[in-house]
Amino acid sequence: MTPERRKTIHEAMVRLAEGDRLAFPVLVDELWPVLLAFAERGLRHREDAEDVAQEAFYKIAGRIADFDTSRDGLAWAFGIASYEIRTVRRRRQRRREAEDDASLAALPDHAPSQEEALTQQALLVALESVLGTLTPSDREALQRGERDGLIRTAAERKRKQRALERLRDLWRQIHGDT
Amino acid sequence: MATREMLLRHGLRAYERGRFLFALRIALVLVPLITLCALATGEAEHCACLGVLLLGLAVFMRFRSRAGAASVREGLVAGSVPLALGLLVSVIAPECAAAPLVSMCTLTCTLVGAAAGYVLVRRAPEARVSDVLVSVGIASLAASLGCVGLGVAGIAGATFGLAIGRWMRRAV
Repeated sequence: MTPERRKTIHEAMVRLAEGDRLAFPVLVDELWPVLLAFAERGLRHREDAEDVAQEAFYKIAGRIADFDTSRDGLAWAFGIASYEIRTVRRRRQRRREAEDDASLAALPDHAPSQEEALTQQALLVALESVLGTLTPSDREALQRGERDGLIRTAAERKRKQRALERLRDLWRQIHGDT
Repeated sequence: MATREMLLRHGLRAYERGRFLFALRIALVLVPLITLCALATGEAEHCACLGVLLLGLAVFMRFRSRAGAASVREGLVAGSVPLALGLLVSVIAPECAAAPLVSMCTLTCTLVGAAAGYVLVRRAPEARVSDVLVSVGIASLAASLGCVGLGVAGIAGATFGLAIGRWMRRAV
């Protein structure tokens, strides 16, 4: 950015602010490449930078009637472009956060629902009340499992089966068939 | 990919739209004044006519250029005194509405218009003739809004006074 170019841009903006429409092509030729380079440095993505530079250029054109000619035109234009760049960066950040949330939400959830949890709890309470009425030997037989190697003989298996039948009968007596 | 033609076309459109919105902001000042004129004087039709003329001229000049916007501002400042005084007189002395051309009512508007015209030229001594004419036109219309309750004589007096004031300043 040479001082001459900066001066040319400022003069074009002053002329446009004063109503001289003939200065507009000068602004396009001098300001547009500067804005585009500024946006590319700010976003590091060519397509986004072009969109932002275009948006900024149209906003500059739309607000030039209010431009204070005592200020530096290029600095004023960069102020508008910076705002557009920050807006795009914030949008990118929000999109990244939303994508992270969406990918987390897509993971399967194996935890039981509230209704299932309440039903399970009610069954456990009911089971405990029935188990409390069993004899100690029946309770011990029910606790033994074949997988953990605690039931080794047919007699132990038979004892567990009888304990389960007594548990079923007691359940039906206390809670009915449901 | 933004081409030069696209930037020129859309950019110029954005520029003209921005200028128009800038020009239209004067309505925030003028519409309440026109409403006040109608309420204070009871001459709603005359106020509306003058108001539309004033608003149209002001918006057009502001849209055209910044020099035009400055002329409008100067004209409104100069015309505000006869406008305010005219509205006041029409409220406290409503008999002025039927006053003849040569009367105290007309003289009041003429004198106030002259003072406004004098001030107008003093504030913008280096202005171009066209800009001064715009300022005087705006000032006359604004003054007329105030003097509409004093009849045509009041309006004529204010406008004449503005022209006299300008001439006096230039002669001094």
